[in-house]
Amino acid sequence: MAHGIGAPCVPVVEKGDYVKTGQLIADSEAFISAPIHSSVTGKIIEETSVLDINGNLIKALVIDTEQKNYFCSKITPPKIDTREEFIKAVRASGLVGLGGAGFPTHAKLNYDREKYNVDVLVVNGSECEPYVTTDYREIMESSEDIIKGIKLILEKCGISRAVIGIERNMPHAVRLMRERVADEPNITVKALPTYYPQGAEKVLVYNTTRRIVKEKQLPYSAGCIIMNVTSVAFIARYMETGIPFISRRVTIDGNIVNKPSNLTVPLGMTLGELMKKADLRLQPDRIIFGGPMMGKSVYDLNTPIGKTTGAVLFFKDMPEDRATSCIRCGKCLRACSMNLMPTEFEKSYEMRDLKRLRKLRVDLCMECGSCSYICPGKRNLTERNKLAKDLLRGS
Amino acid sequence: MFIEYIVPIGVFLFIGGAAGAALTFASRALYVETDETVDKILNCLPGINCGACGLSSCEAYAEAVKKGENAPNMCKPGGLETAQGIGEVLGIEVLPQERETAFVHCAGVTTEHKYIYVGTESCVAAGRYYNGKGNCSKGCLGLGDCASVCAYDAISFQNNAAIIDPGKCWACGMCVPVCPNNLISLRKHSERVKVICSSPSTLKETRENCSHGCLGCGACVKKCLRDAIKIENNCAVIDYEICKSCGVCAVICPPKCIAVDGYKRAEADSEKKPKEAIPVPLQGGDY
Repeated sequence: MAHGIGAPCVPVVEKGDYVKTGQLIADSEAFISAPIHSSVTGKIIEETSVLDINGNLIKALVIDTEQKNYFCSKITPPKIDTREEFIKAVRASGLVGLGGAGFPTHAKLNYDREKYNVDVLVVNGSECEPYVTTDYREIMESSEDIIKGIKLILEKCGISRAVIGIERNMPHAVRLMRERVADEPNITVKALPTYYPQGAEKVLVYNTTRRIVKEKQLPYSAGCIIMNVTSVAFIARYMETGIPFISRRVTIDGNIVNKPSNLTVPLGMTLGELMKKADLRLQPDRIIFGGPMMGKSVYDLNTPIGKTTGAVLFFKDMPEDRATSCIRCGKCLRACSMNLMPTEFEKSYEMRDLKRLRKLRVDLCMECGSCSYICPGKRNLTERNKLAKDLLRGS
Repeated sequence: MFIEYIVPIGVFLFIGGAAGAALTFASRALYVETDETVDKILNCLPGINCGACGLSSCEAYAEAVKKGENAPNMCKPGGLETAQGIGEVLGIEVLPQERETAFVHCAGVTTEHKYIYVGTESCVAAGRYYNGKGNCSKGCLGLGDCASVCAYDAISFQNNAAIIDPGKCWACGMCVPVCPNNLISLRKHSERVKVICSSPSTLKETRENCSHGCLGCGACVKKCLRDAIKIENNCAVIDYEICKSCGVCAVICPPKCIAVDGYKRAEADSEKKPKEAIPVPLQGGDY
């Protein structure tokens, strides 16, 4: 009953009810929260609780699925004229930001127009992490929907132009999108340098528009609004068909996967079921939800695929990295996309030196994992950063 | 001869003499007057700067005692000797506080582990992943955040759970705030009966996860002769104002999660290890 950021939803159906695909099963009165729809047809047999990837127990409904999918009769394309109706329709679709954090899209679109002068829609077509290829497939498979979605958002929200940012290591995608936008005057495609974390909000805004989002401010303040290509394409499809957000594309990859692939997975499918489809060579000893940099290891086969799960990676026999001493090479300083000093964070955290942590601005760390990755001493720098942030928040 | 030996010797003698004179002058001119009483009090203190008195160092405490800001019996590691010493200096009778010991409210016998943890050896870090690898989410994580801050080396590990040697512990309280699950508390030696669990989970969950977890069944509440036990958050809590350490509750507790004078650890794999009871000093303390 909770996908991404926002208030958790309350079920609107009861145990024993028969639900059809696309039927609303949970909603919340809070604005920053997206409703949840059933992704399958079947009978609700149990109301239980499952562990989400952050280790919190969340409420869940178990649906005994039938062989066939019957779409709910209430599914009709929404009628939209004004911005308010558009935002209402987006909320009803249950869409959340698919880039990773899962901020409800309608809340993102519902910015204060008097306060912020938003004139650029930045469409994020650069993968958020290595291994993940969902955005690439979206561009290759549904480029027309993306263009339609962008035009719809530009029109309804009164934004003047859009920039699609795609990393250079996907030349096919760049070429395809350039062809599509050839006769669209207010949409441009920008090829971005390939590096991690290109998909991060502030990095992307800077690389596409050369505007700087200041600390603790939203991209609105730089006149930008950011949406993932998949979200944009989904909005276009939803406005045509009315089918809510009930499935998403998930990358299956890892060193024991025979055929790395992108699967369209109904939301709420458990990891165990997905593993049966994944064509694995061996029993994995590490499963990661999300990318290798920021993703979380999961152990429970009952963990459901959520709205924000972009990839599931299966690994076995990963090299065991023993952390050695810091040799002060400074590689983490250069790798940090926020120009912070992870080594100093680590030392100050060990000393519990809050004053120094505050001075070093550990709160700006976005936990991208670059410092841990680059460290030749295999030190868990990102984890220390997270702990240091928690320490600061707690004090 | 003269240039090679006599001049250098002369130069060095001059430098030495000048520096000595400067130092002598400096020590006279810049002399800071110290209070004799503070020095005497400081001599009585153990000088380990543990922080148990609430101040940053022994010196700060000595000054605070001199000024009358702090009570003269706050030094826990010093015990009787320090208290008497300070009493002599100040010319008053100082009664030492009763000796305390830190106590871990977890038996550390969760049945199985959910996953293999390969991350940083730190309880706070491990607790971020599904509340630790143990089945019980509120139990001891066993990675030694408390042991790393202990200045007396009093914390060791058995069954992956921290255990505090009361003979070494001086109740400085450094380990109390670092435990992410808040399992450690300071207990007086007269408070002999302790609950070895602080899990708020329900009876069903606790029974599945741990053989020594407090079920919150309330058997101890009924049997207690003085109504000293309450169930709060599915866990027994003893009111030490009332408790007379009779030990009835420890006998009847179904999961044996109440113990008098320490408890037997290593029951989970008792076949491999000999059972070890923790030596707990007698009531009143051996200062």
